Amino acid sequence: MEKHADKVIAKIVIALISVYLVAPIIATIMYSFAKSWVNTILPDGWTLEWYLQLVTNSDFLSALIRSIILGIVTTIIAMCCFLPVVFYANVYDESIKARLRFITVLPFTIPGIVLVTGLVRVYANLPIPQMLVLLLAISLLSLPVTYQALDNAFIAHDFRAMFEQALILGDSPLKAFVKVVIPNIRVGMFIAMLLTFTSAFGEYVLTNIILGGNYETLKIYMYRLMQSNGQASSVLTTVYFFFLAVISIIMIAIMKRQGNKKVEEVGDTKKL
Amino acid sequence: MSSIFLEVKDLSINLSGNQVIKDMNFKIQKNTLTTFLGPSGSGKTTVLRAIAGLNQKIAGKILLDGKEIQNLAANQRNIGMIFQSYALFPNLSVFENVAYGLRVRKESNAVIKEKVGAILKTVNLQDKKQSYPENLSGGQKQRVAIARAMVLEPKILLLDEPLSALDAKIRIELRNQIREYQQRLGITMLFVTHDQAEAMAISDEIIVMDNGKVQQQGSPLEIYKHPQNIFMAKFIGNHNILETGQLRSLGVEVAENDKSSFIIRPELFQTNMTGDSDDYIVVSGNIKNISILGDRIEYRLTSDNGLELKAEFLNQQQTFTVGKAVKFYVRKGDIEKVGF
Repeated sequence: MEKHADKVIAKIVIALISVYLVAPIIATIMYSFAKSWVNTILPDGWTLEWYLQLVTNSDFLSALIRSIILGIVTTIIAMCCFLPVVFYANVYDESIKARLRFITVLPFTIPGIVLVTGLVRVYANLPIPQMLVLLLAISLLSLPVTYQALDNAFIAHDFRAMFEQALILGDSPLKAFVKVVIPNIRVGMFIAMLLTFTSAFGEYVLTNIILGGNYETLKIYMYRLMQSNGQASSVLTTVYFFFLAVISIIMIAIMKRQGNKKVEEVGDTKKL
Repeated sequence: MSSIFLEVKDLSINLSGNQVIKDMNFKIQKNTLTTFLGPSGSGKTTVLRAIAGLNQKIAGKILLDGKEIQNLAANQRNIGMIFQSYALFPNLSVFENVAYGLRVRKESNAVIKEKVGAILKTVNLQDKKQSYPENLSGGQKQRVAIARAMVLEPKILLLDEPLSALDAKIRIELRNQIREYQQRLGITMLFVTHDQAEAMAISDEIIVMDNGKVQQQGSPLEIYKHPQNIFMAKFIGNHNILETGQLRSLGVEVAENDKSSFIIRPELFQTNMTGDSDDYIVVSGNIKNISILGDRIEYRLTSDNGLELKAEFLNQQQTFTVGKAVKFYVRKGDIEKVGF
């Protein structure tokens, strides 16, 4: 009897938490389609007008392009910087992995504002474009997720032996890396790239402080819009939400596929 | 008689500040299977990697077919290597794995098709050429690795503990297969293992290593019957090792100042004498323990003068039980003297 009561209470708690989390999302989505929604329980009517306004707004399109550029360039920088390091750590010197793990958690422990202040102070008087400082800073902030995703990609196979085998078969180190290592970590790399891209795409604090109004990204535009037009802002939030949801679904699907593949491999090995 | 094909002269290797290989010298003959045997950490794989060109910081000379190769990069040595994990490329089919080196050499598609087809036929994997490594058994993976190395016609094939991850039955099957390929294709092979039985079973020659040094090189029989030092006596086989005083207590005359050790191989004990009694020593004692080793039985006995000895007989000869008083005999001429 007591167990049944516990189950009921658990279900109620879960339902309340779900409502608490989901209700704002549903309200925002509804609001983005509402003609008008003031002093009524439900909107007066539905429209796509706010969406049309948004996609034809040049400020929005510019902010979107800036965010995409920021995401792509940061992803490229992060991959170019971290992939060789993770490769070296996994293939040649596992002892540095402990130090790398420590470094990768630093962005979690150092608040963004402290990082920005430090960066601005260090680079303010140097002839380095602020944009470059921003890109490197965002790359660093993405380090925890990028490193973890890349590091996981190296668990699956004996990459050292594969890399050295390619050398023995006649390839140069660069060609061996491109032909043997990259194709076999492509899933991990793809996930790392998506994570880096989304964290850079949605970055607000660093961009706002380092470049301010000179470089309005989607997130900065979103906050500006929130103060002037609630419905347009809810449209943008909805679009942004679905964009992140699609990326999350893609990553979950990839990881699930990999997981199933590993289970099959284990099954096959047991059969032998 | 085969000729010297690989020669290592005064090889020293430092890894992270530690000298793991010290002035090592050995020679390998053409078309033979030589095994590097030694306990974990003895430096076997380090030497193999140096020969392959994967350890760049070495001192000394490595001559392959009369040419110095120690300064050449791994991709310029024309050496094949099979790793413990086989290192097959998971993203490539069996055909493409085997064709990899040929493509690097920019061979034409027709040549690649012909050579890969021929080598896959040799290792009996023609029907698996479109398969991917994840769908192959351990034995099939090993054959792909051999085919991939052999298709380039390397001067020497290095095998780094290729059987260590497999269970006992498959190991025996695959080690015989490796030996068969070596003999059929006439390849010079250098095989690394820590398993004495494996080394004994397939090698023409064994190089035993410990602590970065060659302890002994010779044929399996030579190494087993005549270990040169105490390490060898302890590492190879299951010998009884006796000090001078202990041997003297069994009635063998040994010079007072002789500090050598002596070995008695357990299988040389007999239950009765077959010749002149002056040629034998007699060990009287009680059976302390019996171990069934399959085809043989090992008896551990405590001799009347307190020595712990091991004696092995064929399984069908078992007539003793624990605690039984026994007399075992061994020819004095079968007692082997070893240095330090």
